[in-house]
Amino acid sequence: MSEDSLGGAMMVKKRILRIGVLLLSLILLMSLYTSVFASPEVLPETVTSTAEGYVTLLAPEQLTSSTTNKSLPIAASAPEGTVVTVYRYSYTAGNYQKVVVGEVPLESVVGSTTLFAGRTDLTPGLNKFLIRGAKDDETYTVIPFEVNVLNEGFMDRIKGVINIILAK
Amino acid sequence: MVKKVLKNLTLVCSVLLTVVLVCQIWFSSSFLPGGYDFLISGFKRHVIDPIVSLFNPGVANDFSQNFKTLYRPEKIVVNVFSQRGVFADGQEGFQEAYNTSNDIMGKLLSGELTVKSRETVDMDTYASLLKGKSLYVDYGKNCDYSLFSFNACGQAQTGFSEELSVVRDYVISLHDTIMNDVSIYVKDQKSGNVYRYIVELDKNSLDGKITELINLSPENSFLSYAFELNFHKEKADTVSKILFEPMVLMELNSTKLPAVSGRKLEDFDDNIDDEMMNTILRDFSINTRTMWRYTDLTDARVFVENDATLTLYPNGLLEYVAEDGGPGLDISKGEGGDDIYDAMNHAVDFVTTICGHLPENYFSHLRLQTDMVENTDSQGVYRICFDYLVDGVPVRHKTGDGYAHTIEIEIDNGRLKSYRQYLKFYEKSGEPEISCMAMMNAADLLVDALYKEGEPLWIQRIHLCYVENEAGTLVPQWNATINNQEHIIQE
Repeated sequence: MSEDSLGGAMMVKKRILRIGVLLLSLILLMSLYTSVFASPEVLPETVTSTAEGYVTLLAPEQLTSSTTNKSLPIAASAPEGTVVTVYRYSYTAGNYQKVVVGEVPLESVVGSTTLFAGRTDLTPGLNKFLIRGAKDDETYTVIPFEVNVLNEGFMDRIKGVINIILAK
Repeated sequence: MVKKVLKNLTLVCSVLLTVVLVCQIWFSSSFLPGGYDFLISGFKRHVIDPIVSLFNPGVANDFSQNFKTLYRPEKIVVNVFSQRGVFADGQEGFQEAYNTSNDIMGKLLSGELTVKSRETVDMDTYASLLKGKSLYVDYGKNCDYSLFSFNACGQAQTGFSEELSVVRDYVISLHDTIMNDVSIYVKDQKSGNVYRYIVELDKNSLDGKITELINLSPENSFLSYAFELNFHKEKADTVSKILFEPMVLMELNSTKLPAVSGRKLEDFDDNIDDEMMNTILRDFSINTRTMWRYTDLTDARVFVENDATLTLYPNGLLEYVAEDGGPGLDISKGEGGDDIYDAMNHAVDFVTTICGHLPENYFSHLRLQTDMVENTDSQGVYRICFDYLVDGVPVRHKTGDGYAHTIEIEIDNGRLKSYRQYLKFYEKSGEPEISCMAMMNAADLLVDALYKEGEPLWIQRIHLCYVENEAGTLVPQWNATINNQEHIIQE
């Protein structure tokens, strides 16, 4: 093998190495970029807002409410570009976990409408939720809210009593 | 003797030959322009049809029957608390839900049901009914009460005519009480009043029907009314860029629609041959003997007569245009009439006649799509549109300057000024389903395109439709109505 061809092979090797390093750095940068906008899967029970105004709860209207329904519409408004995520409190784990509906987390980047909407199933008893609007990892607003699911038998008894009174 | 017999035979043969030849000339279409169909159709219209209608009021060309076929709700929503069953026009279960609701409405309007009380309620009460056990019937377009009532009970004027002028939707609600009564809520779109009529009705039977329907409907766990999400109210602390009518049903997830393809009439066995074209020309009162016809450079077949031009384009569009200032075709059969009831009567009859030449199932796919209210700006002038539906989803046609309906008619005091109809059939192609963008993403695009500082967009309705582009491909797109103007949202 001549000296020239050996030098050429070295050059090619160097180029490949450079391109590899560049690609790796690019992938690293991309993963860093996406991680900025992904909300954490789990939030501690004691989580508090680091900033105000990144999410406003529209539905349910009250932070504590009762229903006999089996699902809950959730709506919020947030500045454009905010990542809004809904969490449900896990009584077993003692923390808030991302709500997943049909294998997709209840989470989206708010668009020009500045509105967020979703729907989740309810379980009997007290359902504790938290909605988080995040500008980035450090800047976010959280709003906890609760929905108490009454069993229909109990509601029927109340309605029955009211009906009897009205019928008289 | 033989000579005489031969003479007689020759004479008989000559007479027979004469009779045959005369018959041939008389009954061939070339003797009179248009043949003898006008004699037959005139005889049928003025003699046969009146006699038949005495025994059978539901024959073809009967306005009531045809109007009922064309004027149907866009969707019926069965609400059982948070469970929701949506029946779009054409879907399985729709007819059953429609029969149930229309029967109750018909009995209310005709006075068959005893109204125990009537009162007005506010809009919040009207919307909140949808959280309970109820049937929400949404026509998606405003309709003059006379037509609405005629459709429900066969009477244009009833005891409700004074308080109801324009109807778009209504709710039949079951009470939570032990009383055997049901509430029917109707919103008058003109005054904005919502009327509540409490009627005596077999509540258990209706309850059973609603349960039956909800079990029949596909699971829809991602549907919410705009009022449930508070998307109908301006927010106190932030700027609202978009607001929705409270009863707009919002699909919170991205959806899929079946792939659909269109076929021109030529692709069928009964293609547009000269005979069918002549029949259509006669319906437009164009004399096939005296008209001027040619095929233009785009391959469109053009038929011109004194006051009008009829064109059949290669893409299946049939277009009739009366000359500017010309009288236009009298489709009122001399009856005239300048109100919406008459205009609708004439339009429905005319569309039925044209569609009568097409395969039967074409007509059953059509639905009236525009508001059917008096035109106060120009009395007697109406634009009436019909859409072709595939599984309840309307098809729209991309044109140079917008999106056309399948049939568009312009009437001026009983006279046809223009008529456009796509002579095409649409059906599922069997190809994989097409993903549609989520409704909220479509709303984002609307804000990007139309929002002006301080003027929130007010979405009156938003629904999916198929748009047929100029190449003949059908793509599902969102169609939103803002300030009575339609906007098709492109990705």
